[in-house]
Amino acid sequence: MLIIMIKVYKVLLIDDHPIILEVYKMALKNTSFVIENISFEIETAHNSDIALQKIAIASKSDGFDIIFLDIKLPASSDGKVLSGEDIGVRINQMLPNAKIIVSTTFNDNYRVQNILKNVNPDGFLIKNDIDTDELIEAIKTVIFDPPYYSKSVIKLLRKQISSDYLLDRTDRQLLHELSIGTKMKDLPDVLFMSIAGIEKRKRQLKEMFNVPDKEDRELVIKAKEKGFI
Amino acid sequence: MKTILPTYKRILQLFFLVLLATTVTRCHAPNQDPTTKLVEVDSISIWIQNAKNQSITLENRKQGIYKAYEQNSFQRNDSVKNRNLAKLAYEGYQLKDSVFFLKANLEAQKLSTKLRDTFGIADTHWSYGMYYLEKELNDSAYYHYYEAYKYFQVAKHEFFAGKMLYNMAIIQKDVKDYTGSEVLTFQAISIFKKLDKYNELYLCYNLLGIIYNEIQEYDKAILYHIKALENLENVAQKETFKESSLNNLGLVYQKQGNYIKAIEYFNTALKSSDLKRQNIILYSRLIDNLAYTEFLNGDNTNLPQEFYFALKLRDSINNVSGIIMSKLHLAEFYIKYADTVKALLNAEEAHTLAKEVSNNRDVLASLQLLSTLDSKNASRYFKNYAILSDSLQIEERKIRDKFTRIRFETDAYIEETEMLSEQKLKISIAAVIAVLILSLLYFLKVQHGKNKELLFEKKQQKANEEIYSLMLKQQSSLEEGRLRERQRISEDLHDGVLGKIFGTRLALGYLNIKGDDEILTQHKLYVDELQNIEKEIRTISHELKNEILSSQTDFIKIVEDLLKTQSEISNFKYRIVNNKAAWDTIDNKIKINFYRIIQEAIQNINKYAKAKNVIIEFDLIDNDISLNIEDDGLGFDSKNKSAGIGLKNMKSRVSKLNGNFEIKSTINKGTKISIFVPVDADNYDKSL
Repeated sequence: MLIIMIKVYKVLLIDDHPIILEVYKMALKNTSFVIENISFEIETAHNSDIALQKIAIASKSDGFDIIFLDIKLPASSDGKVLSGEDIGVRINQMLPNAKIIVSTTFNDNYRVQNILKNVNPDGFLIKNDIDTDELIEAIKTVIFDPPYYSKSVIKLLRKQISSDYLLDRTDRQLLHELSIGTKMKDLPDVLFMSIAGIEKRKRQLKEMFNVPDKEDRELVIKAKEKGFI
Repeated sequence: MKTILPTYKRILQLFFLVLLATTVTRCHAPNQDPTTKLVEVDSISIWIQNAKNQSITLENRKQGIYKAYEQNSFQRNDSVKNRNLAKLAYEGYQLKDSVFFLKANLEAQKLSTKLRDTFGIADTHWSYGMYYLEKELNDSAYYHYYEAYKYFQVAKHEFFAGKMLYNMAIIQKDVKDYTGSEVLTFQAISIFKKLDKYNELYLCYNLLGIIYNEIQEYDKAILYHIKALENLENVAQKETFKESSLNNLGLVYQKQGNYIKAIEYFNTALKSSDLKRQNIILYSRLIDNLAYTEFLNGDNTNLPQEFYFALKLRDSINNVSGIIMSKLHLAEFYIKYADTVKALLNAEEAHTLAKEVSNNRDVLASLQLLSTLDSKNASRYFKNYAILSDSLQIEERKIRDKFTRIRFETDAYIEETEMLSEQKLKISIAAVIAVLILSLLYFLKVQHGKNKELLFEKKQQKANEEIYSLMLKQQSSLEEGRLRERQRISEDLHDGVLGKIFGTRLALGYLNIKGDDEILTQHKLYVDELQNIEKEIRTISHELKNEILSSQTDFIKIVEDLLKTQSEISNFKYRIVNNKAAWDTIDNKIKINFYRIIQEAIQNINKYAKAKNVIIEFDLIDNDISLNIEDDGLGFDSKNKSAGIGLKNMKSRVSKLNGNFEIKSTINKGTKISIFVPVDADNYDKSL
């Protein structure tokens, strides 16, 4: 008698939209149809608190194999966790073997880069890029041959690799803050720098992006174009 | 007999003294005044010289001064005219033309007063003094001499002042105020001694001799007469002064009863070879005095021939007073030798003559003689004598009093003037102080006003800034609200709506749709369409966010709003070039002033320029913020300095910021305003 071994993957879905949780479930179910001998044991969390709780419990038992992580999440009740990014960091600490699939609507480069750096997910899905087939493909790839990055993410990475610009974290943050219209007088508090220092950095950035003596706006547009924000 | 003597001698001396007085006054001719050494070339001077010419008739000389006067009246009212007037008055006096003299002298006095010529005033008083003395109005003469004395003193002309003292002394002696006369004479002597004026000193000592003779201090009289003679040694023009002094000395000795000595002196005087020709009056007087002394001495050897000789001489020159004296002496002589008829005849003739020339003293003397001679009418003569004597004494006393009063009044006047001037000084000082206080008050008030104005300006500035920062706050909070709302919409779309559609789309995809191929294709189409909608929403969301960047805040926004509304008025196109990003680090003071300047400039453009395009450019060059406002309107002549209040306001705003203001305008080409303002040091560091 041939005993068919069925691999059971424990999956945690974190998203505050119930419909998306349903979509992930459908996708996983479809995946189990497509790939033989696998099944999924699914748990869901529709906010940060539940997600952290479940991660904590799992860390003391079997853990999770795959975690779907939404970035845009309401903050946790204790205020320590502000987004899915923070949860991702926590997962890396508590469940180092869990494969994280970040799923987000964010597609601005600054955030994407930060997520890649801080969470280093096995899958990176930009929600609007993907369709049903691609989602199944992503799950498959993450299980058997990670990573899986959405097309937008790959494009972004390529752009950065091909450019000569060397930007540090502060440069990126400054560009980001400028892009979201943070006021000059508020910047020192955000970046922990003096106004003079900020101006100096800005001037260097402008020279780097070849927009000297232009307004900040030009700088932001150029940086966006080059894929830094 | 004895009683007659004093009167008689007094009469004699009076005449002598009048002579002396005239001598003194003659020494004073205004044209000898050292201060007026004028070159006498003009016609007026010639006329005056003409008037002095003794060789032409009196009438011609008078005509001369009239002509000179007439010509002089056309002159300017200056010191030359004044001096001429004084000269003319003097000539008038010399020519005994009272009317002319009074007219000219009064005019001279008025002009001198007008010119504040104290010497001139003194001079006219001197002339008056001479004039009134001649008219025997002693009090008037005295008054004018005194005035002349005062003015000469003010004019610092001591010599003439001394002369005036001497003239006054003579008048006082004439009215028998010997003490007063003595005092004045000594005053005069002290002046003349200082100036080494021997001629005048001689006259003064002579006068003192006469005075002491009168008050019967004979030793002193002799002493001073001798002193007079000593001084005469130093006098160049001695004339007949020596003989006069000898005569006077003889008279003193005669009065003392030392007839031998008296006769000696008279004889010494008469020995002078040329005396008869030089001074026949003195000569005849000496003979008369000699005869009278011989008579008194009881030596009748040459008598009465000498009396008649003197009388004959006096008759020949019609010397009335001399004649009277001779007749009185003869009367006395005949009384002594009991020829009553001759005595009475001489006495009556003397009486008549004396009355004719109103010589009161001689009248008295003759009355006294007559009262002793004419026993029938003795009581009547005596009565007349007493009445006349009394009235004369009263008159003399009155005049003496008058002199005192004149001097007192003048002194009182001086005192009053001094008091008045002191009062004037006090008033002036008070006025000056009052003016000072008032001006100080005014100054303080103005200062206070200025301070207030400054304070007000400061307040206004502050209020302006407050208004501006309120405006900014309002603007930025409005903008912030708008941005927040955009952000919220953007995020809602992105996170909420987009996520939900995404979920729905995938859920639809996983649905096991049963149907024919067509339905399946359609289903796929709708799902793809949903993905397109997602993309669209995402784009919208991004654009909403990008607006954050493109929306400029604060200052530039406000400027833009201003231009937007203003440009609609005269329909110009505008462009704002901002090469200065960190406006929020710039001091509000600069921004408010820039805003007002732009406002002013735009107002001008709307009012006058009729521009089609306006460019406003901000820039940061080194550490200056520059603002250029350029238009292509009508322009104006920028050389025309009469800048309007608008331009002035702009300039003053820029200068308040320590900046540079420049305006260039060409007619029909447009106007360009360039402003450079240094960023404040603090801000400059921050913006580095």
